[in-house]
Amino acid sequence: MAILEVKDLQAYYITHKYGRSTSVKAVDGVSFQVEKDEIYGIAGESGCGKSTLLKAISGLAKPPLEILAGEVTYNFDGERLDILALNDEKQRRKLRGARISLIPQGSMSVLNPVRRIRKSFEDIIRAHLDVSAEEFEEMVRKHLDALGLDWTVMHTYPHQLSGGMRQRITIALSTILKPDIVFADEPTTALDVVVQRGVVQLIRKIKEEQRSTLVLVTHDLSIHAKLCDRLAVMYAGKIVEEGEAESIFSTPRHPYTRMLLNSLPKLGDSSARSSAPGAPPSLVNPPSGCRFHPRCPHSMELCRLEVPELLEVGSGHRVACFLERRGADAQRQAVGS
Amino acid sequence: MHSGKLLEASDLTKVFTKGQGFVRSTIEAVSRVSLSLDLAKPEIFTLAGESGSGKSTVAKLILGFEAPTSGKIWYRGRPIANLKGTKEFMKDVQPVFQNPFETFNPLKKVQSYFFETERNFAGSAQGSYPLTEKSLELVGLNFSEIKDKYPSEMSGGQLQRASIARALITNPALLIADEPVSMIDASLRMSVVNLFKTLKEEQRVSIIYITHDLATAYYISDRIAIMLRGQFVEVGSVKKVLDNPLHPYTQLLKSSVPDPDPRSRWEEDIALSDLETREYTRRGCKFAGRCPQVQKICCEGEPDYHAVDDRLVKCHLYS
Repeated sequence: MAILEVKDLQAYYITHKYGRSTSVKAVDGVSFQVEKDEIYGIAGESGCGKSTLLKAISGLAKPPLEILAGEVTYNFDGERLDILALNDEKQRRKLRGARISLIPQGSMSVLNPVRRIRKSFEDIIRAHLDVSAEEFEEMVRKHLDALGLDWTVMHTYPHQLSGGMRQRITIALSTILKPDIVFADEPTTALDVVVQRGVVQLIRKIKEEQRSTLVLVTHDLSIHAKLCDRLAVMYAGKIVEEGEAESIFSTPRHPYTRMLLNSLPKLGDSSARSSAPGAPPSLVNPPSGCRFHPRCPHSMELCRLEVPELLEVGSGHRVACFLERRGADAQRQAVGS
Repeated sequence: MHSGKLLEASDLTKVFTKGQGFVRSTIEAVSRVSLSLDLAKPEIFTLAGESGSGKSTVAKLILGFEAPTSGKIWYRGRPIANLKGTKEFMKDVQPVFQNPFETFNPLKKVQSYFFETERNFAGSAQGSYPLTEKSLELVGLNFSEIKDKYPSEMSGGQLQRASIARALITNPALLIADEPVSMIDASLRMSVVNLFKTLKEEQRVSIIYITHDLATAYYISDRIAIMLRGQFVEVGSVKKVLDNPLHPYTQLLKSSVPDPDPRSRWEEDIALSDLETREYTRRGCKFAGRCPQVQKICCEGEPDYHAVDDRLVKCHLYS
């Protein structure tokens, strides 16, 4: 059963200056479903709209970010909820933290530098539950124990902790109320490899313990490989490929996914590797047709003119590329003749 | 005695003190570190380790930004203490910093850094800057791409390459690159890393490459030193050290590098360091608190360096 359904979502940053309006098409016609109890990954280079997509689907869109079209439906134990239709900030607040939770990017600046960690825990718990001091302590202690964190961190200020510790506390904070679905925005970026592995370990533990669903956004494909069940690759505001993590890593179909995977250096392999040519396009004025065509090695005339649809090419594997269609045509012809 | 060496550092130690009087505490950010680079054969030497392991402090000591508490550094046979701040030294040893958006002042045009460096070090006349164009070409940029642009108008990868180009204007013999790719998207990292490789091979520039990314280190470097809490725990050729790591910390680092393969996931849990200061002040081996092969001796005495299989390992296991 899908816990989250996103249909044709369009979210633009619209700014007005000197009577002219500019729109940054950060999310442009994105559809996907997240099943219950799975880890769903969203990958792509910086500036492809990953974080904007998270903001839009968690109901955090604020001007200049505007949602122009689309549906975002949550399904909590049979109760269907359209988050974009919720106009009341109070109702949204009740959802956030308790049912939907966001692990924000940049743990350095998330925690309040002049308050002890304990205060941050109090804030989030007291906003949703009416608990006594003893109940509060028991609840936090249990959660920290389960995550392998020490109770002493509660009395510290953020600056006393290392970056990895702060990130783990941010994760603990976002999951203390056992939300049904957790969105994690670049939770391992800017961390060292060992700490990064610790965070991956922690995320997996939470998922097993709370049986929650996780949407993981990061540009690091290796982290996706370590955590995700299913994966979507975004390019310039659109999903270009989606499927089971294993099939994406073993048989990537879209040229962009292949390019991303090829640019990763591997330990134990010093054969020459090249970086992806070109740079991601500006979203103010994205290229026509397939947005990847200026960087694509297989670009055809058709790619410049038409936008490829996200079509199923195998069990649960969807790709938006004309090469696939051509492959299918060739197959059909071969069968027909 | 130091001839034939581009850079030689012996027993470098840097102690930072915190607080005053009774609450005074000290941390050895760098502890008895030695390294040397050959003059005849340019190489890429990697310093790898977690954040807070003292990598950047070593870079600052070599650049002369900080004075070592004890130990000496020689550059081309002359002590750095006398050289630092001289034009000759600044021309020869150039830094590349981690975050290109912090390297350049957001209110100044990127080109002004190039023009300034060229005027000061190459003595080019106002208005003609041949070296700027040449060095930009080396990193795969065109002067028209940076002309009249502010840092915010360029992408991170472009700006980092510009930052390297700026360092190349003076035709340096040594580049000190402190985490040059950690702020760049994985897909664009290789362009910078490949650039270092060509600089070494074609321009004969030696590079001290500071990183926590072992995959790129393996890809470009010749030798590597693994740092842990201010000490080198394993030093040797990069192929030897990373193909077959001997120190338990190097083994942990290597197994923590995520490979993009969903079929191999980390199954066993690892212990994480809780507070950095606790490891810095630990007696004996700094890794003893997290080491899976810890023995009684590890908590008592500091291990010596042992030469095993063409490399130095600081671990009791090999004594």
